[in-house]
Amino acid sequence: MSVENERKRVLSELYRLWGMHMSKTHHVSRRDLIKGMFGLGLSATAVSMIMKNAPLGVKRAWADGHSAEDRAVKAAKALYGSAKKKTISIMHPSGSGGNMAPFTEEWKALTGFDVELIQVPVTETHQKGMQEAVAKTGRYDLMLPAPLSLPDYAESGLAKPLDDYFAEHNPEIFNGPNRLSYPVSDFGQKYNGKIYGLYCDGDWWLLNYRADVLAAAGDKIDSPRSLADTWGRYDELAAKYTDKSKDFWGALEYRSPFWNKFQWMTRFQSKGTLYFDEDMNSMADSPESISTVEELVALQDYIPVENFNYGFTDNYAQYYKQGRGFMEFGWPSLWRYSADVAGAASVIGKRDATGNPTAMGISKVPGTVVDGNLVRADIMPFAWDFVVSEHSEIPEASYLYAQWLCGPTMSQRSIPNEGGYFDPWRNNHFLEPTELFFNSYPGDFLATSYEAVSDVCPEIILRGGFEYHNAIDVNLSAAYTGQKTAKEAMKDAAKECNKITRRLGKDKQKEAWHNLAKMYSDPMKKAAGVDSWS
Amino acid sequence: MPNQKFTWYNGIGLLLALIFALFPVFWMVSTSFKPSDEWVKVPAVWVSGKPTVDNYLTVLAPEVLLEQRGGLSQYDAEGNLLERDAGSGSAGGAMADFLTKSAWQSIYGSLILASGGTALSIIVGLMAALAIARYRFGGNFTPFFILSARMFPPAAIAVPFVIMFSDVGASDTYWGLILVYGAVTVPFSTWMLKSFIDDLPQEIEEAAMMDGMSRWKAHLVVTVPLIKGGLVATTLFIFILNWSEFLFALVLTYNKVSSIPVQMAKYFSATEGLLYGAQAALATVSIIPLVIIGFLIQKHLVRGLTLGAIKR
Repeated sequence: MSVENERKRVLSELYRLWGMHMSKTHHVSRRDLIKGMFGLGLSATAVSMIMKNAPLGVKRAWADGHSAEDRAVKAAKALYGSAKKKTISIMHPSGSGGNMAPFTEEWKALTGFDVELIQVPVTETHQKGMQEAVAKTGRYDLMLPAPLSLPDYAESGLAKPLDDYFAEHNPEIFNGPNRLSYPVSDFGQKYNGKIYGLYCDGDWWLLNYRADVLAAAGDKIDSPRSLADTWGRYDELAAKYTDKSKDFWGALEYRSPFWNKFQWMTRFQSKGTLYFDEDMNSMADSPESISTVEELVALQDYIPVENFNYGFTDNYAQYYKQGRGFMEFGWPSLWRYSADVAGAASVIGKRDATGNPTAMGISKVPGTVVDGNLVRADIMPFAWDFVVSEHSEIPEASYLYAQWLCGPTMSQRSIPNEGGYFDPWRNNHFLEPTELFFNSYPGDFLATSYEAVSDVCPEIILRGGFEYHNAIDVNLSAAYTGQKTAKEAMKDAAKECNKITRRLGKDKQKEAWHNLAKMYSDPMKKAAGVDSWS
Repeated sequence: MPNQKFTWYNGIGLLLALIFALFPVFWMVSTSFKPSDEWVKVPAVWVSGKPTVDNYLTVLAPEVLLEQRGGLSQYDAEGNLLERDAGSGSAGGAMADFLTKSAWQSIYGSLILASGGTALSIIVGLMAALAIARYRFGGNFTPFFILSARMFPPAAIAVPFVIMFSDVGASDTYWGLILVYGAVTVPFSTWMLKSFIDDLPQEIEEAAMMDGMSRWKAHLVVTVPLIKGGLVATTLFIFILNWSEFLFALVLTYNKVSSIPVQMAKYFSATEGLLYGAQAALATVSIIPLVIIGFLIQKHLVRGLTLGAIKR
């Protein structure tokens, strides 16, 4: 075949492939051009869709080449020139600045954006946010509330949905090896299906106990990383290890207002009943709830009377830290500061010659056997989310700061800092901690916490969440102090909760509750029958 | 007044009243010198056996405390978190919010806000009281109309204030808060000063006017000096109200302006919860100006508090 014929054949083949036909003059007709362009468009769309969803798709391949932090820095840098405001103002609760302040200069050097930390009293964080929802001043670009604030912030139009930013910049929270595990990933960041918060803190409870005391008594843990599999066993241990003559208490549970509801939440929900039923009726007065309160009241014989006044830190500082208690539920910081002999002057976190703590034990929370399955309802009170203000002039840059600080690598630097509330939450915190990160949470803590993540359940993260909490809290206090029987207290609590629901609109609350209930762990959903809810 | 002997049971009664009045102050001062493990100890530690000034350092000179604890730097040159020295017995490189900033800004802030707000309130209240007491301005209803400003909880107007202040650029400014403090305390100053002016015979001012003084001058030269005691008592009362105000200072400020009550609420740590020691130290510091002012004006204060006790 001659060169000319070969050229014609190749052209003909190319045109055929593109849906065109060669004219006698080898010119492309208008019709052929339209056909070809249409074909090209279809092909490009198909390829794009395939690549987008492919495991090694174009976008993903690009993303894999950079970290969440890199992407945040590059995007923020690009935004800096045209930004209306060059400083990101962050409202944060007092006591949390230590996780952010040391990195302000670094962020500024990388992107140009300065950071202004506006500290508000920790008890006023939610209110300051709601104030901004009404006033719409735009003074805050980012806020740092607890997930419990998300529904109110979202419904009031204060919190900006972050779905588009997540899709565009990929903070690696829902995907990749450094993601946050389900269900925590969802219920603390989403409300009614949209993302409103970006985690910077994980706060699910674990049970801290005195491993040396357990060993000395010849007792053993029930199963790996579980001191007591069931609440019954837990109660037995509380009774066994209480020695009032030595002011040593079996269970350092919380009984003071505000703190006490968390004990109820974690024990009650493990019985296979959630806060509300399918129709959004409060289950506070359910037989499971009443029996829970009765158990909690009975347990008070093994709790120091001061705990009717002590909150978390007082309870820890006055009892557990000083070696005057056997078990205490707590946030990650409890383990961290117990292990930090130098910083916390702890008498329990003694270290052996290799520097490892020897006396402390860490365990998943106990549970209840429901239909033959052990259900643990590990409550996550608090945690902290970055929320972007809808009234901010620089929402995207503000979001990018949060993505940067909470990125897999940066968070390993910011979390161990002093003077902050941030604790481990990403998978890499547990599975690939840096040496210094591990030293902040030494021993078996990270492994236990990671194992517990699948059992974690939310507070009442609904609109009016603080009101629901308060209704339960006040009535639990009445039961604990003997002002009401367990039944009376929880009937009143349910009545108040239902009243709150009616006031806020039952249909809307029900919809939000169904969305929240779907974000429980699979064993809890199964035990509560959530999957059959319509 | 009949002569009465000061009996032993009078003494006991006075002593009990004194204990009742001074116990909170004692507890506050005592707590301000306690180390953290004694703040909420049961049984209570009345007076610490190991007193510390750390709480005062936290409030007034955190940089000194920070230095003792290993400074601000928690990272080495490569950005690695520094290992802490377990032998130091203290948290190295503590970065808690309350250690990065002293309370001086809030102390200055409270001084400016309380002084400005009080001056505004007294000036406006005095003129209003004169207008009402001497000229029946607005008829009988005016005093109640002014008082009505205090008939609803301040929280009800806090958010509208935030919106308005944001619109006019008054948020986070001293002048904005001074306006609010003046406005919300004017009913008190008006009513208190009105009662003092009511007790002063009007004829004295009329005589001054007959001697050729203008109304303004007669009030300024005659009325005001004669109610000096009441004016001082009212000023102190309003100053205390403004000095301890929390709500408006919280909602109308961000970073530039702060006051003692707001600062006090910020003393919270992840490890120790509410820092009662630091709060007590700041509270102790904060009552010093009031004690000094009270001491300096005690003569007028006694006269002011008893003025009007006997009705004509």
